[in-house]
This record gives sequence, C-alpha cells and structure tokens, in this order.
Amino acid sequence: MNAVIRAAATVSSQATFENGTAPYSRPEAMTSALTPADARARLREVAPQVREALVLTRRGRVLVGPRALAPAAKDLLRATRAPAVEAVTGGGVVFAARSQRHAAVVVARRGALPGPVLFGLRRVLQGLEAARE
Amino acid sequence: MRRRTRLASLGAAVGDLAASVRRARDARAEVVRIYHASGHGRTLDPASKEAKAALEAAMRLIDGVADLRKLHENGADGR
Repeated sequence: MNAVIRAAATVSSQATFENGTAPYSRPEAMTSALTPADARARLREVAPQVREALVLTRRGRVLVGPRALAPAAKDLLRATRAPAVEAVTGGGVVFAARSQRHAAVVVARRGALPGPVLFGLRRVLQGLEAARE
Repeated sequence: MRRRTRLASLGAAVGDLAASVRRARDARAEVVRIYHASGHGRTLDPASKEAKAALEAAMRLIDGVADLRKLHENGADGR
C-alpha cells in the first residue's frame, strides 16, 4: 500500500535529494579564510566612519590598499609593539592591529567606536591567518 | 520639592557650561590607546615617545586619505 501512495519525484532537485546529498557536502567544516582583498572590503564596512583600510604583511608591505599610505602605516605599526593600537587625532582616528603574518590599518572619521572596529580587525586578521594555513 | 534659588540656578547653568566646554575639549584631545591580546587597553602618556610617533603616523595617514580622496574626486586617482 505504501508503495502505491509514495510520491514519485517530480522535479530534478527532489530526485537528487532522494539519491543522497553526500557528494555535495564538504568533508571538513568551512573556514572563514579571507584573501587580502576580502579583508579590506570587510574592514571598509566595519563602521560607517571608516574612510580607508589597508592590509599589509607584518613587515609593512602593502598587500592591498593605497600604496601611498604605506610609509605612514609602517611607521604607525613600528611606533608600538602592542597587538592593536588606536590613535585619536583632531582630524580622525586610526586603528591598527597585527597578527603573526599580517597587519591591518583602518583610517576613520572621529566618532568611530573602537570596540566594533577592533573586533573587525581581529576577525579579519584571523581570516587572513586561516587562509595561509 | 525645594525651589531653586537664583544663585543655585546660576550655579547649575555655569556647571552645564563647564561640562560642555570639557566635553568639547576632550573631543579634540589627541589620545593613543594600546590594546593587549586579551582586549584590555591602556592610554599612553601623550608625552611618551611611543605616543608621539603613533600620533605623527596617524596624522600622516589621515592627511594621506584626504589627499587621495581629493585626487579621486578630481579624476586623477593615482592608486
């Protein structure tokens, strides 16, 4: 009786589902690995006050972002050994953070909340590190 | 409820004004904060070598971004 009332697959997606979805599943979990370009795009969206973002190597070579800003970004990273820094000036605020292999700099207007920007910097650096593994 | 005297009202107004001036001054202040891996931050002494170097670099970055925007607006983006 069951065989009689069992619905037959009428569309290809239903037929595919009935054949099993194993070939479409990844063997390992997805990572949040990022390319430098993705990382920069994410940083530019981390707060509405963000005006520019750069992704660099830990030594200060610009991977993505305006190369004209490279010397100043390098100097900011050299100014302190801390993993992250926030410099507030009359004209705006600059955040910088570094990981084992990368560094990132965000230039924003005044009023950018440090919490979300620093969280975004940390996440992006984690994503860049994951991409290298 | 006790009614405010004229002197108390004047005192409150002066207090509000002083707070506004203080907030405006704080908003213009130049500050460098460093954050440790744990997320804890501390403000650097503005007279320290570290803070001065960070502020100088930050100002160059902010000016650089402004210059790039101007170039971009003028259609001569050199990126």
